[in-house]
Amino acid sequence: MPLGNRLKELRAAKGLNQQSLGSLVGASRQTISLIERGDYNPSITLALRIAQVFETTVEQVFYLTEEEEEK
Amino acid sequence: MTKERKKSTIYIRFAVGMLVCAALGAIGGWYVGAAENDLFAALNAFNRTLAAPGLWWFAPGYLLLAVGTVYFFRAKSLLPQAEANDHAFEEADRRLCLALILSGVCMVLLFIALGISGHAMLAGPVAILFMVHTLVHLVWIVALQAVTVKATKAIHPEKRGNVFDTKFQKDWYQSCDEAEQQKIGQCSYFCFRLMSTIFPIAMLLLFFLSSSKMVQPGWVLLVGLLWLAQQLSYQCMAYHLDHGKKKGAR
Repeated sequence: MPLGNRLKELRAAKGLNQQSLGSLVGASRQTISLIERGDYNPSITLALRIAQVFETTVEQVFYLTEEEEEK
Repeated sequence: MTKERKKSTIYIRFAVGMLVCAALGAIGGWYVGAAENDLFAALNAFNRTLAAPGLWWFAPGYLLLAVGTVYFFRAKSLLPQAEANDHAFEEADRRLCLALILSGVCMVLLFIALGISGHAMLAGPVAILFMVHTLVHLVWIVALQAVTVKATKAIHPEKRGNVFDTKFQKDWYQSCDEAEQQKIGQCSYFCFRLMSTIFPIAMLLLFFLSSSKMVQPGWVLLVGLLWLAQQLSYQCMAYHLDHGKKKGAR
């Protein structure tokens, strides 16, 4: 179930690499990579932690793709 | 209408599958009954063929260990760049995974080599060579696994666990994040499904062989107990997770 995200651009704007973001939210670098590629949908807890790091809301970081909305 | 058709297809396929299995079982049982002495001879010849290679049973393990070691060193060469370079990180991680898979396979191959050729080797003058091969294999496997895990921890600093600790797998799992634990769950379920297919086939084969006294009942019991352990461990864990007492942080 693909979930869109703006993780990469938010990360770049904040000057964080995948490893640093992972350390801040309690996830591995590989998981951050999977999330960015859309290969893994984070749990609510992880999504909230990520949004907190970027000082924004979850909806600003993640969004449903057209395929998800059609469902 | 489509849902009803799908249901009936399932039941039809199940019934056909049962009939095919019954037919194969009948043919197999008839063959075993009809060719008993020939089967005994064939089984003995097969066993002698298996034992004939002797120390060469260690060869596949050596080959895979060599390949695994190459993967490890190729991964190690990427470690300095892995922190800054995402591609280097992915490639290093992939090579370390392959090294670990190969070392795991080699452990199984080692036990196969010991089991098949051990009794003949220990009785003869090549007993020392046999023990040397066994020790070299063991040391190489353990060393490869230890350095691979160490290198993995270098690119995954959040990972915990000492390879030589009996609690290593538990510690490692607890240091995995939600995505990694989900992956482990998916792998475990795939393994469960696969073994749930393999075990009945193995038991059926043993049934045929045991019914014509070509294998001792103890082997049937051994495989049956392994199957039981696989089923019960999975089902009981699932039950415990759903209905067990709530604990604090695990």
